[in-house]
Amino acid sequence: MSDQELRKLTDLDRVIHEPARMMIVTILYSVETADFLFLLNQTGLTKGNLSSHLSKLEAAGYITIEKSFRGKIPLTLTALTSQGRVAFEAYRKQLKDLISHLPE
Amino acid sequence: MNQTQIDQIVKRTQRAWYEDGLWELGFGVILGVLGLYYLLVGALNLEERLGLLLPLIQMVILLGIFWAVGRAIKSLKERLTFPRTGYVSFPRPTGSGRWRKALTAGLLAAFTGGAVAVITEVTVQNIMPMVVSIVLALVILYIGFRFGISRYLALALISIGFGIAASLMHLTSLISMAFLFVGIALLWLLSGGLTLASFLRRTQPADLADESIEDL
Repeated sequence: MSDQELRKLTDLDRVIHEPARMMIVTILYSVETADFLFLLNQTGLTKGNLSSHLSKLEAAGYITIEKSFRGKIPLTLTALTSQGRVAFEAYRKQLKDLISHLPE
Repeated sequence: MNQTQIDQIVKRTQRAWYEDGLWELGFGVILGVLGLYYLLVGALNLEERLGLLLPLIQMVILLGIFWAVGRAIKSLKERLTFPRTGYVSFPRPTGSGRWRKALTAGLLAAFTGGAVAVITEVTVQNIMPMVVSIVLALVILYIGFRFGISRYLALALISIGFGIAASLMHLTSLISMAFLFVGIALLWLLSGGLTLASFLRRTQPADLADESIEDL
């Protein structure tokens, strides 16, 4: 791996690179919208942990969080923004490129 | 996290839609209605009575049952699934994607129809149910493979078994198709029912009084 390729490691999007956030973004990439409970079930994170990661992703502009009610039941809907989609696709490509350059 | 793990997460997320068995129940109902339709057409000799109106009636029945089953699945998911495992919606194909899907379905139907016509023309036996069951099995296998649902392999194989049985029974073409669809429908209803029962046993409605959600 060349120096230039090694430096690409530091270019990886750190907001997405964190494993828990990576999982959340991957899930949201494959759906239109998902609520807090769905993400909780799919990721296996604790409620507090999930909340914290969602807040970071929202602050980065990668997801939207919309609070509403379905009847009397509170609903916290999350969705990937177009910015988040682009960032995830770029991250995936970077990761693929880096791994393909690794020696056997 | 590597590419394979990302792909696994995507697959698992998409599989969530099938975990409650409601889709299988819905598909079973559609096939059951189709089977009963063929049975009715065969028993009342509607082919001769209605002539060219029959395909039109079949299309209306199919569209109606698709719509009704879609509504029923949505409503049941709201009541049973979402309170337990959370709400999720998947993107629907729009624009060119929707047309591409419709075109693929149309071509597949035309190919199947053509193949059935050619095969029944050159063979004495009624192998239409077998051909239809193979096409159905291929669709089931595709879904099973794409979303990693292993029970669909068994469903596909048993469906072909029904097709072979229906072909070997030397019934009239309409009655053999009715046998095939009702048989596969019962199989899907059984599979869907068992999957739903298992889903309801292992999941509970979530406690929604959650401070962490409030903090968001």
